[in-house]
Amino acid sequence: MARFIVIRLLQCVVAFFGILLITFFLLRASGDPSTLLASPNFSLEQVQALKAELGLDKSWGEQLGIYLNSIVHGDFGESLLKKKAVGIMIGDALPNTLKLMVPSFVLAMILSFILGVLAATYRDSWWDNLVKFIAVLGQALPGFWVAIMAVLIFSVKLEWLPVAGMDTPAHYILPMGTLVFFTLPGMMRLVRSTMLDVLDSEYIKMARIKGLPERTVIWKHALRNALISPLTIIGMLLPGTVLGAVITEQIFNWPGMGRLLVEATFARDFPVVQAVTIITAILVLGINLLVDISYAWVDPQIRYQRT
Amino acid sequence: MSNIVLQVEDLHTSFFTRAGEVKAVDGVSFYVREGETFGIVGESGCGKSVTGLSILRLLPEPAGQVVGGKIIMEGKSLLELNPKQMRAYRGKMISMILQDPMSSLNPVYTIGDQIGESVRLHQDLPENMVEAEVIDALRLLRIPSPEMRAREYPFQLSGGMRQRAVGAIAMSCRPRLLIADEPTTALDATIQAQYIALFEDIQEKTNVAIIFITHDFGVVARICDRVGVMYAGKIVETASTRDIFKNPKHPYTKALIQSVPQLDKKDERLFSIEGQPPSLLRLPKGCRFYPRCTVSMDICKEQEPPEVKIGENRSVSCWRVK
Repeated sequence: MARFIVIRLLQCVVAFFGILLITFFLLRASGDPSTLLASPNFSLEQVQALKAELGLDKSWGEQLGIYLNSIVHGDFGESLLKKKAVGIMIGDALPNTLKLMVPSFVLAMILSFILGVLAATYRDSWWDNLVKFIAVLGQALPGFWVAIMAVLIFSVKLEWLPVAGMDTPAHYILPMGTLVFFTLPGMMRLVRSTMLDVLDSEYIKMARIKGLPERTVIWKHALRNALISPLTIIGMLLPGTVLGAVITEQIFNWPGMGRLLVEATFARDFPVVQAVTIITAILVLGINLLVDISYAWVDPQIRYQRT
Repeated sequence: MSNIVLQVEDLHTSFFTRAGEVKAVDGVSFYVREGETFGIVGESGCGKSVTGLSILRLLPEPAGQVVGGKIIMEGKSLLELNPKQMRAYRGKMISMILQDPMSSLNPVYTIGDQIGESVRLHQDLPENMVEAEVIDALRLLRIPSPEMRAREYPFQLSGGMRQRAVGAIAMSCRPRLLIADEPTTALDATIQAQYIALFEDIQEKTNVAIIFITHDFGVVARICDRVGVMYAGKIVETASTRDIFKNPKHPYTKALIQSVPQLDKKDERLFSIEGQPPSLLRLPKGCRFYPRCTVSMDICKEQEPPEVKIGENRSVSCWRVK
């Protein structure tokens, strides 16, 4: 088990540097930020001076060396656009994103498990059909469209909820709802179908033969076995959730990492885009590692493997 | 004679499907005494397993339902119990062993947990006693080093050991009745013989009544005291194991016994019964075995044969038997 974690950790480190390098070079291949920063009436010398000031006159290799060196020292550099330390910008934006994403993700998971398990338990009932309907609807409708429609209905027409911002708890309802809507339908469907497979198995029959009440059969014997494939999907869903956060923050003008990333990308603000990508990569890799470790908790067969 | 533990009278179980009512069990009666093994033999799909599940009232609802008859366990009518009372019978008074040992154990809990769960549920014992009961159940099934096995997961055990572990779960509360649904089918021949010997030993120790469901007359000869031969939802012949082998009365029983491979006979081909059992959706008007019977008469096609009692312990449903 310890070896398993060490191997996974090493894989994470490799993946992390891969992501870092790809981001670094892709950004530079996309164009030169000095052309965006310079006014049209700048002379060639002025543009050159700007480039030198930003360090963009050096070769990519040199730039990478400087960047890696400062990252190791915990310095993410300065925003080209806002002339502000990137560390401070991230420090402002990250908590806002987490405040939105963590509760949304947790809520989506809890709801998918409860709804999925109940749908499987009462298979073919009106309840099951409702869950199936919501799942198909959720997977068919694009999340950003649903978010805009929700704003239109609840904020503009009914005026129940605020349009954008994050000042009061009411501001959280629509963005959280949108994020839940991104992950809930697929997850719920997966929980339902794995649960149906498990409920059909011989050990569930055996649990009933023992005389166990139905709730123990479902929530103890069946659910624990039905956890494994949804767990895999949690790891895979995460990048999608990050993307969802980018879109959601943009729609609801949420001052988080997503909005920061979009603004920085359009301005070719290299240090900011790099920092946001790095932080996101660390989060996604870290949670994937946790998912891998939690397999071992769910499935004893993994726990006892020697790898 | 010892007490009757379970009496099934005229049991009817149907599955209500889109195609119509499937009469899986259609008027089955039998009993089983303390310390006795009653075998239910028949081809797959004849209603053996459904009979077992009907007794435990664990049919796949809402499709499967007991539509008639009585199931009496030591004076109590099981069909009249409410769900909670019925649960108290399951695992404690009546237990069941399913066919496939590989999949009957929950892969994510240890053997000890799975046995202990039954013990905790049905017996009001302090925790340290529960553990002793678990080890005891494993010993009863002659599982070597039970203390170690109790802490292991199903995937760490061999097939034969898993089947024993399933037996230990079933026997953990010393039930009065054990329904064994083809428990030896998935095991290889040597392990099968050991397993059957083990059951005889357990029966001697605990005096449990066993309903042994099988399609294998060879297994019947080894373990059963009495046998009911089942065909298309009905028991067509009931007799003691000795009588049924010495003097089978029903043509179906005769044919089944003939199709058991025997080492001392050097026939070129193994005997097999022509044709297929009838669809339970559309049963023939007369005798169910009529289409495949080699000695059928005109009346067999028109009317179902009544059950004829021969002596104390024997009955046959065939027009040839008077």
